[in-house]
Amino acid sequence: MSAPALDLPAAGSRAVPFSQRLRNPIWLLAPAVIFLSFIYLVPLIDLIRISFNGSTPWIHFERVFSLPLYWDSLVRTMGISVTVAILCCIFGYPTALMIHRTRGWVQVFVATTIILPYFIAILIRTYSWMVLLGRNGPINKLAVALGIFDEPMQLLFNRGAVLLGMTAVLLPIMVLSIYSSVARLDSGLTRAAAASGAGPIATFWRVLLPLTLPGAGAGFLLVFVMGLGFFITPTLLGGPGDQMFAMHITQQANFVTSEGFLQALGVVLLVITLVVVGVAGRFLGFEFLWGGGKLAEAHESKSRSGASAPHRRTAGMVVADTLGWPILRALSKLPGSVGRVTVSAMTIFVIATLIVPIVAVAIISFSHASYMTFPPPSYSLRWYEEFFTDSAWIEAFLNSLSIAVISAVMAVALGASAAMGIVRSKIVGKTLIMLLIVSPVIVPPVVLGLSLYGLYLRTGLDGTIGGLAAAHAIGGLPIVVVIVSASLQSVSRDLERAAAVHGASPMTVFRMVTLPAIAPGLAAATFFAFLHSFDELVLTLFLTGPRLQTLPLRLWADVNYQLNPVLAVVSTLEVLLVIGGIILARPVLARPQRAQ
Amino acid sequence: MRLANTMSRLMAGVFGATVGLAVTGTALAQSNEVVMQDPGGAYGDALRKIMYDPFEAETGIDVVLVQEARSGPRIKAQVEAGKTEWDLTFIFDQETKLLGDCCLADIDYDKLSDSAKKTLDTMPENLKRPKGVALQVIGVGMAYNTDSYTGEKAPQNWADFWNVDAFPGKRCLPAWPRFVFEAALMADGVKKEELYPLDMERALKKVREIKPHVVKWWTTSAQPPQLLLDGEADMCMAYTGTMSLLALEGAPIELNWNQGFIYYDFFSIPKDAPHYDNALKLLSWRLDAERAAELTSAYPVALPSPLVFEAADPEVSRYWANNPDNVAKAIVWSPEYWGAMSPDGRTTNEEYGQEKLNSLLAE
Amino acid sequence: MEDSARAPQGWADASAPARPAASSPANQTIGSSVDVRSVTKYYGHFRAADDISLSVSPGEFITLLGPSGSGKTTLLNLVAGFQKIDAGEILVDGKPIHHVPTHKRGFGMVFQGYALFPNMTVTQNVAFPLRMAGVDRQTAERRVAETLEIMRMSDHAHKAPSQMSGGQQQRVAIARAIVMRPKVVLMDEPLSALDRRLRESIQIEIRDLHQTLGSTILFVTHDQGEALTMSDRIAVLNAGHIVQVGTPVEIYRHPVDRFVASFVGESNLIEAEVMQKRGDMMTLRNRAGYTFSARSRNAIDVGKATVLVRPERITISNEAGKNSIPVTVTSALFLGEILRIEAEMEGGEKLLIRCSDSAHRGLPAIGGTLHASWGADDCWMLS
Repeated sequence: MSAPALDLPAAGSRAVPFSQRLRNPIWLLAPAVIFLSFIYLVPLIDLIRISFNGSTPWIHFERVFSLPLYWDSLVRTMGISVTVAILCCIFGYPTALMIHRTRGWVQVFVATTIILPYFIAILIRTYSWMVLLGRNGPINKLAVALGIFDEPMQLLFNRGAVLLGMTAVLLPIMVLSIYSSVARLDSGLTRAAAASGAGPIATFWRVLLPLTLPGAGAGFLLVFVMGLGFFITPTLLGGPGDQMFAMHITQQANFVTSEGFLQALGVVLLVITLVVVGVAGRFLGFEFLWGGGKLAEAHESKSRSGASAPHRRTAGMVVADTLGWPILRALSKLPGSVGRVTVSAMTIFVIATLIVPIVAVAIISFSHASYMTFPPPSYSLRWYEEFFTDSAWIEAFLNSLSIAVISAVMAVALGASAAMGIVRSKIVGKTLIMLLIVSPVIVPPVVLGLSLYGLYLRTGLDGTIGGLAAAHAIGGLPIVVVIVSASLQSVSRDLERAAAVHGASPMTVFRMVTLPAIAPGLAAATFFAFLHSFDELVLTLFLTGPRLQTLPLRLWADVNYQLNPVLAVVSTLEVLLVIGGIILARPVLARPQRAQ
Repeated sequence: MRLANTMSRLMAGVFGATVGLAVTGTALAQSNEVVMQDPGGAYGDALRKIMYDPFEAETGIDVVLVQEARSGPRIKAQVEAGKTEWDLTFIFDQETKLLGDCCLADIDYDKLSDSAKKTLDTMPENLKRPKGVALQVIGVGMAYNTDSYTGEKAPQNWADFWNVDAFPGKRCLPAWPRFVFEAALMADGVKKEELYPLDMERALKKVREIKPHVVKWWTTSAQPPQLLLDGEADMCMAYTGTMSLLALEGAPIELNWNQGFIYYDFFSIPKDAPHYDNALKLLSWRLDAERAAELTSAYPVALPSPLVFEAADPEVSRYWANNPDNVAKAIVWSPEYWGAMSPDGRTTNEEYGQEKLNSLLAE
Repeated sequence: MEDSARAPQGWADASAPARPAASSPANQTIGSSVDVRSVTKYYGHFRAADDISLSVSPGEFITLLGPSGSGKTTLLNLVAGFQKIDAGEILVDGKPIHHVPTHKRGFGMVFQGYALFPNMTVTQNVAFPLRMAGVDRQTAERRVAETLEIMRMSDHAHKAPSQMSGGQQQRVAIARAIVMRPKVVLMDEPLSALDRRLRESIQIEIRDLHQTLGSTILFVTHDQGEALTMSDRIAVLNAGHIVQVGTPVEIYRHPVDRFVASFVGESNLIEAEVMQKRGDMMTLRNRAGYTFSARSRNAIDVGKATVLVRPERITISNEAGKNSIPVTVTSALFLGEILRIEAEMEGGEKLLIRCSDSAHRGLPAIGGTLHASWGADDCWMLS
């Protein structure tokens, strides 16, 4: 891959002919960067421009910050996001530990129950909570049967439901983030702590937690930032007191006179998100966005700073001496089973919250009743029949399928090329480029949709399959780049050099050595990019046209209109699609592990 | 190098495909069809069966439906971008003024069919505007569960709705300022003739009173019927359409038109609509009194013409918003007020009221 | 029981404020006895430890030696409490401890991968066991300083583990294991990640440390050289069983079976037939028909026998002598201080010979014939 020209000293590069310079892997970054500039950066800049369009430049922002409605909503949005992130941490930690500690089928089961929902559309998972918490849903039925409630309770449309729904939706991100740092730990450390006299809780507090804090921190930030832009879940599960900021944007989009102000709302949400990420990135390193670890460096700098003042007695030390250590020692006297039982109980709870809704919806999909009730009075396939014979559903399904396929192809073509460029080139400011490519993950989809709306109308891309595919590829691209870069980094350069030494041309090296090695990563990336597009709703809401109905759009319309068992059918089919995809992809995904 | 080449060729291919699809999309727009906004749900089903399927069979023009509750902003954006996609839309009365000049085309009344002209002749003048025809009368009234309230115990007006001591039970209201503010003011004793301009602060104060008893501030028309049927709410302010359909089917639901609201959805053709003539044909089709009556019998949202009203079964038409008995009880709702600019001059009254209501609800 | 199992009493005395800084490194702990009685551990249906019994005396340095999968690490983990025993019992100073969780057993432990807490400095790592035991900060700091002094790591006290070499990290890990002056220290292949030179120097350090501290040490290794160098006694494990327990000399000279003989040191196992037995002297004949005599301290009947002759016990000569066996040289290596010669007896049986260069100038020619002989006392009869 690396042309000899690359290794020449910089002084010689002026003499390198143009065709040679084109070999520089930097150029592989170009397509993705150009794509994102046109379809992502320019619209966002345009959004900012429009937000300043008014009688005075700041008039719309003045309105945002002068009305308690928006200010309160902003505070509420932050509050909900922080709460959700904390809840995810509390419940995600034991779950990640459980995945790490268990073996065999238990581990596979726990991991699957966490990862599976990650691939299922947010809309569907939220819908399943509506079913579960509904007046005739399983929870109410069970509680009444057990005599906990006298009559069915209103469990939906309140803050609790929003927090529960959002936590359940975002929990897998947190678990995966924590797990990735737990899995990197040397298992000897916990044993060393035990051998040093530390009980399970002291071990957790002094060893496990500090070491996995970067992973938990990254998860916390991702969940928080994603929570800021949440729209679907609070809309469906919340009451009027749970309005989140993104919902104001969609509500304002309903008013003819809102131009400028609407964009200002979007800009406010965008800026807040970017500030949070910026501040966090300053301290944590922006790597948290793509799961890269700055772990080791963080520790070193921390311990180095500790080394500078080894003998000073700080207030923290006094507190640790008088409170911290005695408490830890006291807790160490607890039987070891306490920790195990706590972790297991929380994990079971987490698994239940992730899996029960999906299972309940699957059961309801086989209901014979024409309304939503649990358990179904009788069973039949009538709603499946209804789905498969309804041309509108099928058309929506086929549209989603085509969009997702095209979007995945675009994302993989652009993303794989960009990943090669990032991993193989020696360009300065790689972090910056990576940041650009990965940033769509954190931009609230409502803001992105709003910004693209104008561009799509002008270019006639709205309501076209290609246009939607391209919009979905904005979010698919980061997924591909992260996965493919990771698998490229694991390809030994020596392997490529060995092939080159034995006479293979760069293209042959790529085909014979690099491609086979990253093939599992590519396959996974394709699958994820496909699912990302297949599930995408918010952008689609803004960018669809009269003729183009997608599966999530139809679902959204129906969820808002009336909860009927056809939706349960669609949900169940999507779950089956994801399970099928994972099963199909498993041999490919499992290959690198077997090779090791 | 060769890799980069392959990649860029691949990229070009993908972009080519995108552009190609975009072009195909535009080309499709030129074909023989009409793009029509659709309310969806049971009403949408009725429209498809009674109006559009026969229309397609007879004229060969495909009716493409876009489900959208509120089309104003989309039309504005489309027209301003010079990419109008819709041919026929319905627009809230309060928005017709705001959109009229910028975004709507004149309706060529001469090109409408004879039967349509016949229906139009029977309609009041203010419902046949240059840029819009009122095609549906919408009623918003009080619906309640007859198991909860019967006989004299039935609520009679908004004051009763607000009176949770005499009429205990859960309420549901729309999450919008329009209708809710008017009802609140009437509940507070304002005469229906003296409502406008609304005293929003007074209305909000009254809304705050009922808030603890409101189980759901609904946002889509399907929610109140479901809430009543599920027993989650006992009394709702709701669209009369679905509610009356359920009442006719024997559900324990009754409607009260007293102090109800009647307004019109105006059907308009956006500027530069791709199929202007087809839009006129569909408009004519829908203005045919016989067909309109048939539609109204299947779904009780009526065409505001006596012709249609007279053609219908009185058992059914007693629920219609344009039934003179109902009209007499209802108030004349003011789209002008809601479409007008608010006192601070920044937004419409509707937007202003919405922000106020949102703040209140969020408390 | 809990307190006795934590075993820091010796240390607790020393740390009492009444005796400021009096604790020199020389203040010796008396190690505990460790009794493993009929301990069995299953992994599924696989018996990782099969009815193992082992008695370790107070202050003894005992090495668990065996190939991978022999159960030596399992046994150590059972003693440490990382795994639960399925049957049997483990006693420390006569008290059963197998139900006591690891952190209450009061052992010190050194791990193969060092297992230093990366979020703590060297000082914090070493102080960790003290803090868990409730030693106050000042005393702990002093203890840590002393222990680091012993391990010659004082200069690195405020470094992060990641800033040090493997050898330095292992010294810190040892410091952490001994800072409590535990009565039992467990070491799980602590030297296997180090290079040879470093390994040898730390071997000696650990040996010296053991002398100084007096703790009982259970040391796991698969390296027989390490075991021989360091241990008071060696327990050789194979397939979940203890095959032999004995001093290094016993194990090397008098292995109980072919496995121990070939696992510990290089060996020649010669198949022979006992021709004649007179007292403890016997005459044997190998397969090629050559006879030699051997003195046996273990009871052997007339008949087939396997004779162990260590390579360094064999002397070679160009001429045939009494009891000598002619061999054909197949390979010869010059290893500096010694020569390593591989040869074949008649009939194809291989013979490995290590001899000093002075005895034989230069390397023998490949294919040439030599005459190998050994004394009767150099033989050990295996049953």
